[in-house]
Amino acid sequence: MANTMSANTVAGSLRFKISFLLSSILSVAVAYGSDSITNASTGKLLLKVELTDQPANEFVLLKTGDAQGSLKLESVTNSSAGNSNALVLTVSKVGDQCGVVFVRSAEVESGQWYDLTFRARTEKRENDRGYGLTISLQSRDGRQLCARTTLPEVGGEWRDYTVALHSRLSHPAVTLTITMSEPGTIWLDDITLRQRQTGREMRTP
Amino acid sequence: MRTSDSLRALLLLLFTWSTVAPAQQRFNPPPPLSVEEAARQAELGSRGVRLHDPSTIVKCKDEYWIFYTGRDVRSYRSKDLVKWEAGPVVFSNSPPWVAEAVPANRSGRDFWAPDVIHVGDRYMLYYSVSSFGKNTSAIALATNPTLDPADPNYQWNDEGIVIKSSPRDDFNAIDPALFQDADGSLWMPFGSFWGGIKMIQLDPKTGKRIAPDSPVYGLAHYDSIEAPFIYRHEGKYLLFVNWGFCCRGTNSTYEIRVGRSDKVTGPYLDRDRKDLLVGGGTQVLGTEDVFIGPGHAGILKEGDKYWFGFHFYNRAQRGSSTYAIRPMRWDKDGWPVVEKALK
Repeated sequence: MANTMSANTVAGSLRFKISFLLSSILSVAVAYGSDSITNASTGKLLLKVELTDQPANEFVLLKTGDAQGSLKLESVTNSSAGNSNALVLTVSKVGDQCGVVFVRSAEVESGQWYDLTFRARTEKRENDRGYGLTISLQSRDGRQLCARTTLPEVGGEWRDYTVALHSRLSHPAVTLTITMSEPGTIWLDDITLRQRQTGREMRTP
Repeated sequence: MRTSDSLRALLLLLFTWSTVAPAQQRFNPPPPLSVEEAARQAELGSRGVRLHDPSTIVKCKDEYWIFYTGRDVRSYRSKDLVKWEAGPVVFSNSPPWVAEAVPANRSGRDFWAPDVIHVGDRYMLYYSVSSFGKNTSAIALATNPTLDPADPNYQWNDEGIVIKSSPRDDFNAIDPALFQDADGSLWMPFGSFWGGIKMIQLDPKTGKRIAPDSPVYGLAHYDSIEAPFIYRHEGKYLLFVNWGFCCRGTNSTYEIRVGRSDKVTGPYLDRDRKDLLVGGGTQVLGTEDVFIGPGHAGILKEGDKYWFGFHFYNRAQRGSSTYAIRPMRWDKDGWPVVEKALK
């Protein structure tokens, strides 16, 4: 079946290729997480990655050019129910790109829609504004961009966000990246990517 | 465009005060400019009137008109492109569909980034309804047979939504710009952040989308992009866009970029032949002097002269957004060049 996002531990054509090979444009700062897989055949939850304190190489810092930043897990309140950790991305210098890449890859198909949902918060800024976040589905080496969208204002107290991604290319193994448009710190949680038609999802962390 | 410096400076001060007055009830007004500074900025194109997101200049009878972001869609009018006076607002009430389509719009009467075009026997004004940072938005159409409020036929009619967006879309339905091609076809580029600049074709007779499922063309993308404008010159289509962030006063990072195409639907390539869809864009105008963050480009051709309209954040007035018009020309390769000063 085309346009699937599932795990390589799931039989059949639904595949997530968990790879720890990083492209030349990526540099690893930290990686945490673990995952559990539920029924793939019903179209319900396929993959759920719960944040734990155990490193499992689920996400890494993405920085290109002279970007500088860091990633860490932080215990939080007022985030998602039953999850006390959030992913904290700090960008001190944007460079060409600075953000987080989720290393699991997924197959996408040209013309299909993918919906990303996540929760986020930031500290209050002097200018009272949020941060621009760019979300991409791209090949591991960054050369093939399948879908990209930018939210102009993400910030303030914990809030749910929904982002539609329309893939203009087919690709067997894209990764999800979230980058910041300007220096700052953002807390992320409950990041879930679904294919719109099938409802299959990749959830991380 | 020729006025003595002293008269121009006086006019600038008068217009600044007149536009500041209503805002004083809510905001700390920006410091007034000295006569000398006002005159200097006027020579650099400032028209001294406070506005944000100006439309393309359109002419009705012997007057030029621009519309801009604000409650009920606001306007300015001018007979000479130098002296601008506040014109009437478009709406006296919120169109009935607004509250349902975009409930987060604060008052139902905050309308953004209008653009206007004269097609057939009427003026078509497209305006945005949205809320900050969200893409639950709509672009709608209002029409009027004339822009002259003294004309007995003057009457704005709201024609409703042209296109809308929600979190299930990869675009934000705001910042419309209108372009009518030589063959009469009507196009509307639009967009802000999200998936970048998109475009739909409109029916020139109705002003609405040519078909409900007509293509949504992708024209340009960048991490921060909005405010498109298309202009045709010597058979080439030029797409102007804004990169950067608006609305941050002197910290705004807006700049105007351009790409060019043989077809209105693209691909638009910059001078280095980089596609605007993958981050290409040749800078046309960036921050300089007190003119911070120029944005919302529009071109007016009068005779053999070209005028380039935009807003900027005035460093000398704590970043107050201000309208400017500068002469522009085309270089030997057909790319636009915005002159530094009026002379």
